Amino acid sequence: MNIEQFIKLTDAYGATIKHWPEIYQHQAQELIALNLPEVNEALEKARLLDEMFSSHTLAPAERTLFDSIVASAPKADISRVKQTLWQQWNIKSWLGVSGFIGTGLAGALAGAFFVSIWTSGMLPESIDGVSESSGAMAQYVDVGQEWS
Amino acid sequence: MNELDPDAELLPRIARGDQSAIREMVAKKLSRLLALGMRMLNDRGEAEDVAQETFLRVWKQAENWQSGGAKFDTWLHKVALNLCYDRLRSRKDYTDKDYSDEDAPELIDPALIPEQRLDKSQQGDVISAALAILPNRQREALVLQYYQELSNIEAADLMGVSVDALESLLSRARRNMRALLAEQGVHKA
Repeated sequence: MNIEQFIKLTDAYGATIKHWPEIYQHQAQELIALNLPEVNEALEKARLLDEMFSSHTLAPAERTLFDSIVASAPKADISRVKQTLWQQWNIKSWLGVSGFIGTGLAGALAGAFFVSIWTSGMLPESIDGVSESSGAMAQYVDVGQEWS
Repeated sequence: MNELDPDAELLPRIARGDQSAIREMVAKKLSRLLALGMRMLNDRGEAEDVAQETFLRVWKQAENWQSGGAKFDTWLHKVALNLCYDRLRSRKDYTDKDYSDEDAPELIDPALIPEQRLDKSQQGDVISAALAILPNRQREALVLQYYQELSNIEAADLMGVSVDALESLLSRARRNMRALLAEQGVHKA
């Protein structure tokens, strides 16, 4: 970077080199380090103007403005959220109910199979015990009848 | 999420009505928008209107925002600048003319006291007044590059000019400001 280019860039971007385009920053620092009168003069002239610019401060935004802007933003769509939750619940409940029905059907089928074997007289030895116990049940019923 | 654009991740949340994202966006951008409007329009009420209108556009755009294109902050500045120009054009004294140094009009109140007796707030008023009479494109260049701290490429892109043209506008803006402030005795010519 030559002095002329440095002065041109100082005229445009001011004295704060970090506000310059990055591609020029390193070369500008190298030139400043040389402590040349033309460079110093250009920097000083730009610095005085920068100081004036930086004195232009503004009052911060008021709370009421902040709040009114936030209030103007879209709200979460409650009906859409409810609908989504309902759909999710339906899917879950359907899975739960179908599982329950499936288990019940399997149990009913197993029970029907068992009854059909029992009534057709193909019961194995151990199953006869169950039949005897049904006799015990009859005795129990008789005891009850004595109470009346 | 776009790593180069820290604002972009807030937008889908804003579109869903996430209040914390909305508040974060307003907290991040309101001061910037207000400063841009104030310096472009020299009127706090109008600057606040511009900020509010800009956020309404943000809420609308949030759902459709596509990452990977322009940075959100650049888009935000574009919207705000367009709104500022709408207001400037509606003013009676609006002109597109870009004054040369010789054309720069008489500045502010000539009775303003010289530099050594100006406090910070009065200096700020002088700057405001000087900015207000600067040609629009010069003011825009200076505000975007110096006060809004946009890169030269972003500022040039926003203004629809080349970087060389931006640098030329900046040089003229600074030269004019120096002359205008010297005229008021607040800066050495």
